[in-house]
Order: sequence, then C-alpha cells, then structure tokens
Amino acid sequence: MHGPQTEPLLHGVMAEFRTPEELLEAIGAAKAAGFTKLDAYTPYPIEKVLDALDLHHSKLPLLVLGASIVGAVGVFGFAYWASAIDYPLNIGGRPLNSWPAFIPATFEGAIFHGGLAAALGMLLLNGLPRPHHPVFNVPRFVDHASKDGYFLVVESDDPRFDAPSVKRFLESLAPVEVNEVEN
Amino acid sequence: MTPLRTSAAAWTTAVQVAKTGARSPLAHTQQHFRLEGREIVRVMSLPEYLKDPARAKGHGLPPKDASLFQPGWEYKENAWGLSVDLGSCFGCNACVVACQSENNIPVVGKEQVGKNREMHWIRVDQYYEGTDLENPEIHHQPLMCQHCEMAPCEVVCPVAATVHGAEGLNEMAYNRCVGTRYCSNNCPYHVRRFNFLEYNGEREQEPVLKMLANPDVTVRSRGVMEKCTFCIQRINRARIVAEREGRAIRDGEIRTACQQTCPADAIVFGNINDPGANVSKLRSEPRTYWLLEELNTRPRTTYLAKVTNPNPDVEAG
Repeated sequence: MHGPQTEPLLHGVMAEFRTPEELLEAIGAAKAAGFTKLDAYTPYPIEKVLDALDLHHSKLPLLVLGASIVGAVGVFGFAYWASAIDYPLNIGGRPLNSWPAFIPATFEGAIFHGGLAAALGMLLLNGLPRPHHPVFNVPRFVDHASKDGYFLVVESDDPRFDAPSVKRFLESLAPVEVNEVEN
Repeated sequence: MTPLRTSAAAWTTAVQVAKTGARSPLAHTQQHFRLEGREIVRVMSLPEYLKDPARAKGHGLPPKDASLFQPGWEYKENAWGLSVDLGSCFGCNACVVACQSENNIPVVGKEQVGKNREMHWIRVDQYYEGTDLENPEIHHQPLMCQHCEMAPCEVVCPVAATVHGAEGLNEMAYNRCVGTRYCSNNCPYHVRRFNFLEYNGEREQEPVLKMLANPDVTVRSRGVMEKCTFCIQRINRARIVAEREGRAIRDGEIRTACQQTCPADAIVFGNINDPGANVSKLRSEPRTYWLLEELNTRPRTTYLAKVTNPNPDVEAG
C-alpha cells in the first residue's frame, strides 16, 4: 500500500465451515468469546444465522414510515394551500377545504414517498452501490461462497480485534481454512 | 304562377294528399312527453290549491345539513334569482328565440339536432297529461340553467372551468374549458350545451355576418361547454350604470332576454336578497317550488306551480 491511508490493512479474519450447523456453533463461540463485529456469508439465506447475528433490526421500516408521513402531509398541505389559500374558488357551494377530495392524492403521495424511501433507503443502509468488497480477496470465498461454503468473518473494527489471536481462536473451531481478509 | 283566388274559395283550393313512398327523418329536441309520476311540472286545480296551498311545495328544499359539505358561502350583496310561472307560460318559444339572438347561440340545423346536439340555452319542455289521447292536457315548462347553489356540474370539472361567482351565478370560464363534458353529464337538468362544430368560423369569413353577433357576449369556439348565464352582460351593464350613479341596482333594472320577450310575463329576474324585489315576492308565494329539490342542488331558479280553474261547462265539452 502506498501513501497515507485511513483504512486498516485488514478487513478482518475469515473462517470457512462445511455446514450451517458448524457455522452456527462458531458464531455462538465467537459471541461467547466477546466478539461483536461479526458477519457471516452463506450460499442461501439461513434464518438461524440472522437470529444468531441479531440482524433482524432494520431501520428501513422507520425510514419508510417517516417518508410516507412526509409525503401525505406534503400533498395534503399542497392541496389545501392551492385550493384554500392561493386560489380560493367557490366550487359547487362546497367549503374551500373540501378535504375528502384531497384524500386520493394524499394517499398516493404517501405511497410514492414510502416506496421511494424503501428503494433508496435499502441502497443507502446496505452501502450500495459498491463495486467491490474485500471478502472477494479470499480465493476460496470466490469459489465456494455461493456453492457450499459457510463463512464467518470477525471484522477488524471489533474492539477486541487482534489478527494473530483471532486467527488462533478461529482455528480452534475446526474450520476448513482461516484467512486474513485484506482490504 | 298561382292563379288568383276568387272569393268563392279564398282560403282553400282543392288539395289532394298522396303517398310518395319517400322517407324523411324528423328532428326533435324532446323525445319523451310523460311525467311518469314525477313532479317536474306541478299542476293543480283551484279547489285543490285552496284546500292545501302548500301542496305545490312538496317536501321543499332538504335541510341545510343534508350534505356532507356544509354550505358555508353567503351572498351578502346581490343574489340573482329567476322565477318562472308555469301558470302563465303557454309555450310560445319566444324566450328561446330571444335567448338565441341575445347570446350568439349558433343555429345547428336538422342534422345536428338529430344527434341531440341542439345548443339553445333555454328550452320549453312539453308534457302531456290525461287519458284522452286525442285531446290531452299540455303543460309547458321553460328550462334554463338553474344556477344551483350546490351545483353538481362544478364539482366534476377537472379544470375548474365552471365555478360560482360572488353573486351566486354558476359561471363558465370558456377559455379554461377543455371539453370533457363531465359537467353536462352530471347536470340533472340537462341544460348544458356543448359546441361540437366551429359555427362561428363562418361568421369570420363574411364581414356582414360578423355584425350579426351581439358585441356584449363572448363568441364561443368549438369544443367548449356553454349554458345560460342569466344574461350576465345585462347584469354587468346595470352594475356599471349603478356604480357610476353611486346607487344600488334597482329592481327591474335588469331584465334577461327571455324575460324581456315573454308575452305572458312568466319569467321574472331579480335580486333575491332584496325582500321588496318582484322576484322575492314571487319566491315567497306558496306556489313556489324547486325543480328536483330532493337532489339538494338548491337552484336559484324557482317555478310557480300551475293552478287551473277550468269552466266545468267547457270541460264537459
């Protein structure tokens, strides 16, 4: 590596396992050892891995709710401003704030902003778009991650991270292979 | 050349009628002449009227809270209204001609009438009553825009081309109209007229025909909805005169074209906010009723029920 750099040299240390059961055991052991910045890679979604890594708490629903409320209030407010403040007209003797007429557009505004927030928020929270990820620097990961390999990574921003000791710890869990993941 | 008629046969000559075998479609603006039990035209005999003068009113206007939307608009200064006396109208159609000339309404011709595209702003509906098919009772009803305070036409316009004015008139902004015809479809009185063809284009070609149009009234183009305006040009003319003289508009100062022409004085226009106005007096008569009142459109136009008092000797024939 050349010049000054802010990122650490390592992304983390990766261990490969043969079965999901082994991976789950490894996650349990790593958590028991006090590691907090863990990530797992499996060829298909495994609910128990999500449970073990405690990944169910997404901020996305809150983001969508907020955007929907902003959309609904914004569209209703605009309709109210346009028909009651900016250009008041007596249409069929009805009051200026004929709110039932504004509801379809308000609903559409909520759905539109919510949908937009869901799509953009998903990308934002996942750090996408991202052309490359350090885990692809491990040759066995490239070959097996989407076939038959179950990978656990202890990331380098873990407060207890120390490459040689993490490596030793992971090797004690009987993996196929342990690799340092370069950034 | 027709030969001179002698006094022996001053009015008739020998006439023969024979079938030619040719067929010709008839154009007419009204296809149904029965009331089907509905109280569009209200007729009663004098004894019936004296027994129960409120009979004509029917249920009257629905209560103010009948609508989800509370009518919050008040017309403090002038509120124009029209009263039509069905007892006076005898169906001469002079009002139709007067309105047509006053308001630059195109004459559409037989073919267009056959397609229900007639354009006159006021029409005189006829209804037949009774069991004697040879000699039924005939009722006439002049019908123009009712200028409903809760106008169903206005709420369906996607471009707000028809809205209420400050004096309660149902106004058309011709330049804003995009010709969806929703308003016409939502009008329970069928008094809105759509300009399907460019009738006034011909007038532009002929300098003499240009002078045919009333200069006080907008000449409408194709693809635009139009309807009775309560002769708004006459209202505005009276308003300008009154403002210059620093006074209010007097009762009777504004006469709509139909009112001016009516030989029976069946139509009376005026300010319904002025209790002394002729139209207000007519509106407070027990004979007054609102057309299709149950729809809660609250029309500014009211009708006076027809009260008949035929001589029994004449009735017996």
